[in-house]
Formats: sequence, C-alpha cells, structure tokens
Amino acid sequence: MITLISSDKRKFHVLEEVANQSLTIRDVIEDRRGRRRADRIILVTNINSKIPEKVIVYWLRHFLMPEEIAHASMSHKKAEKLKKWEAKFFDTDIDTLNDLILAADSLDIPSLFDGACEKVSDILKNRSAEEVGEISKIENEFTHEEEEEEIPSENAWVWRNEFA
Amino acid sequence: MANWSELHTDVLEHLTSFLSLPDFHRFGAVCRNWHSVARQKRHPPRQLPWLVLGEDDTTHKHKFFSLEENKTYLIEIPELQGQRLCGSSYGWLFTLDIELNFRLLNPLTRKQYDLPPLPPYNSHNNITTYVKGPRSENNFTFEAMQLSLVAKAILDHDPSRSSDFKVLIMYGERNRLAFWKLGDPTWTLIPDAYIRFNDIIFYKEDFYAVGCCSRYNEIYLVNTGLSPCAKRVGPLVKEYDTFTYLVDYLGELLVVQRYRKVYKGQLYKTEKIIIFKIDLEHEKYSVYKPIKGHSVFMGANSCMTVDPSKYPGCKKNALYLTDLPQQVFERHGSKDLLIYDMVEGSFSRYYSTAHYLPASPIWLYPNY
Repeated sequence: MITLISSDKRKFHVLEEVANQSLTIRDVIEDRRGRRRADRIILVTNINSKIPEKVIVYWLRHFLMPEEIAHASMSHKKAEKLKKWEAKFFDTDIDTLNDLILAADSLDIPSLFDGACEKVSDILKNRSAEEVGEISKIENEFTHEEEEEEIPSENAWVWRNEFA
Repeated sequence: MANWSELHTDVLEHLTSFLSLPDFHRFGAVCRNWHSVARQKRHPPRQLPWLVLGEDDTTHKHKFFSLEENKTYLIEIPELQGQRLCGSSYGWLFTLDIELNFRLLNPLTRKQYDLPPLPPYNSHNNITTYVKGPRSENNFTFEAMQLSLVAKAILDHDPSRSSDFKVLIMYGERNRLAFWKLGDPTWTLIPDAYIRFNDIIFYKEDFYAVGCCSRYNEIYLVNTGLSPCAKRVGPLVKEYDTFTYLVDYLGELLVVQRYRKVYKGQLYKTEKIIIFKIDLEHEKYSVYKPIKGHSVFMGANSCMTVDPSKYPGCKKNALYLTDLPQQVFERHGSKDLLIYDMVEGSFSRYYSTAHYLPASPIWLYPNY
C-alpha cells in the first residue's frame, strides 16, 4: 500500500499495483523498494484533494483491464463500455479538466493525459478565439494591431467565414 | 485554482494534437502563449480529409468541403488556378497545368516542387506533337492531355517531414508507371509487359500496383531501386468490367472492385462493390468483411484510413469514394460520390450536388 498526500494534506491510500499506472509513482516505488514503510508516502503537492479522488477512480476502472487496453485486445462490447464510462468521467467543468491535465502530466499517466486533452479539444471545437478565451478565462494580451491585422492575415480563410 | 494560461508548453503542444486545422488556427489566436505554441506546428492536424471541390465561380477561391463541420471553406490559392489535380498524398496535391507543367503543391503552406517534364502519352505523341484547341475524340490537344496524361500520382513519404521522397505516377495511354525521386533530373520509366494499371499504392514501405490482364487483376510490386521493374507478386483476382482500387486497411492489402453501369446513355453509376483481402505471402485472396470499424477515404488520392469513433459524423466500416479518377466522366462532370457500407453492403451519399461538378473532387488531408 502506498499513500498519496495532496496539497491540502488529505491522505489517500492506494494499492501499489493500482498506483503503478502513474509512471512517476512507479519509478518512485522502484527507487525506494526494500525501504521502510514511511518511504511509501508520496506527496502530490501541486493538486488539491478533489483531483487524487478522481485520479484514483480512473485508476481503479483501468486497473481491471490494463493488459487489454495496452494491447488493444478488448472485445468490442468491453471497449464500448469503457468508452461510455470515460465519456462520463471526463464530462466535467473546464477547471477540473485543467487540474486533471496537470495531475496526469506530473504523475505521468498517458491515457488520462490523452483523455483529458481530447475532452478539452472537444470543448474548443468550432469555437472562436474570443469564446475560448471566455471559457478558459484567458486574457488575450494581443495588441489592437495584432488582433486586427496580423493574426487574421495569417490564415484568412479561418476568420473570414466565407462559406460556399 | 486552475489557470489555463499557466499550462506548460509541452502540455499545450499535446493538446494541439487533438485539434483539426481550423480549430488549431483558432487556438493560436486565444493568447500570446498559445499563439507561440501554435507556431511550432508540432503535430499534424487531427481531422477527416477535406473534399477539394474546385474553383468558386464568383470569387475564384478554392472550395474545400469539411465533412465534420458540414461546411465549405473558401481559400485563396492562386497556384491552384486552372490546374487539374492528379493526386493527393499527406496534404500535398499533384497539379498539372495546360502547358503540362507538373507540380507538387501543399495548398495550405503553398510550398511547391517542380517535377520534371512528363513522359510522352504514347510512342507516337509527345509534347512537340500536341496541338492547341478544344479536346475531342482521339486528338492530341493540350486540353486533352491535361485531362488524361496522368491518371494518378502518389508519394511514399511526406515532403514536409522527409527530404527523401519519391513520386510514382500512372501515366499515358496505357496507364504505365514511372517514378521520380527528389534530385533526379527525369522520370524513370518502369518497363512492363503491356499491362494496363488501374491503381497504385504505397503499402508497407513499398510501392504496389494493380494491373488488369485478360479479366484478371494482378498485383505487382514496383521496384524503384537499381533495376526498376514491376514484379507480379499477388494472386490473380477475377474481374469483369470494373474499376479496381488498392486499399491499405490497417496493414491489410485489399482489392476493391467497383462495378459501374451506364445509364441515361453515357453517365456512369456505381452498382456494386466487391472487396477482397490479398494474402501476398501465400498468393491467395478471399472475400473480405471488416470487423475493425475503420473507414477509408479513397479515389484519386492515396487512400486514408480513419477511426470513425474519433469523428462524429463519420460512418463506421465505410468506403468514402470520390468519382472515378479516369477521364471518362470529364465530358459530363462528376456526381458519383458515394459511401459504401462494407458490412451492410449499402450505398449512401456524403455530398449531394444538384449539378455535375466540372472536375472530379479529390480527398485532401490538410496539413502544414
């Protein structure tokens, strides 16, 4: 059993085999193998407690079939079921997705990273830069000139909305 | 608290690998940081191919139909004006102008390669014997040559990502084969035993061709090495009055036979499609039923296989066919744009047009 500690000091106990899905944690466990139990505590400082919960839920769902996922040997029915589950899992607000991306990146969990990025790309789909800025609360920082001239001239066809 | 502008560059770059080309450009306009990430163009766009529809009559811009968004983008590409499109691979188009200058063009970056002068149409005619004037039966005008000199052209590798690439063409009266590699002064002709080739493909790191010989389709391995030749490698597949394609379906080599029927006098309409899986090792073939769900975009382009589960609106187990890449329809226009459901065996349409299109559309994977 290993223990994850989130930035707000909550503890999460996870089976080693489950947490292994994080390549970062797997390396840490490898490094500390044979040492005392106290060394099996991993601080996850950059994420709040809501995220480890979600990550562990994700691990548990994937833990049941890691081989099948890795080798794409799942039956069609199982694959459909997992897809439905993932769709629901990632159906969350954009801030949570941002945190999941950060967690998946720092813990090195490729499938979670891909899943969260893909969901964000779905949100970006067919939206103007202004809409995306609003959703993600990003200020665009562009000067008036850049906004009016430089960027539109780079790929005029995207902006002009001239459709046949 | 999450902050989107604080995401690392490599995270943002990964995010762009899930975006289509229009979404990617919009992504780059969100803020400075995202703009600089987009400039890197680290990942090819993730999207279905566009259908290149030719020139818009009023604006003279080029029309690109996006199946995913169900809309047509108008893009100004002067290099495409008056060109016939003879092929499409990795986002590059093969263009042939009225003076028979043959080029490779990426319509989005507008980078171009001039290709050497094409070999003659047949042994009696070449560029010095072609004449000016409208095309008609059996005359060798430039107009006629622009339509029929190159039936199809393909690439082995993406010139944007590799400086070592080859072009294979199917050209002339008999659809003969010739290749060119970057740096060569001329085309190298592939000697053949009077085979008429129907389609060419880059499959598992080699060029292959399918040729027709007295009611059989034969598969050839095209050797572009020191002793260029077309060597018969596959089984004989029976056929009768069809158009034949080669398809790479997730590593399996398929022969797709398209049976067409003449109706209303001269127009062609696809009636039936039969698919065979080719076993090159044992020189065998069998009727093929897909189980993998993937769909194929095919025609005069290098065929592209996509996973429809990633693209809403894309049908499963489907062949998205453009019209026949031959000159037969050019006199009447093109309308036979079909989806063939490989499991159900049924036909539907992906682009409906009331008018016949002046030139056959071609699939293009937009890339930079």
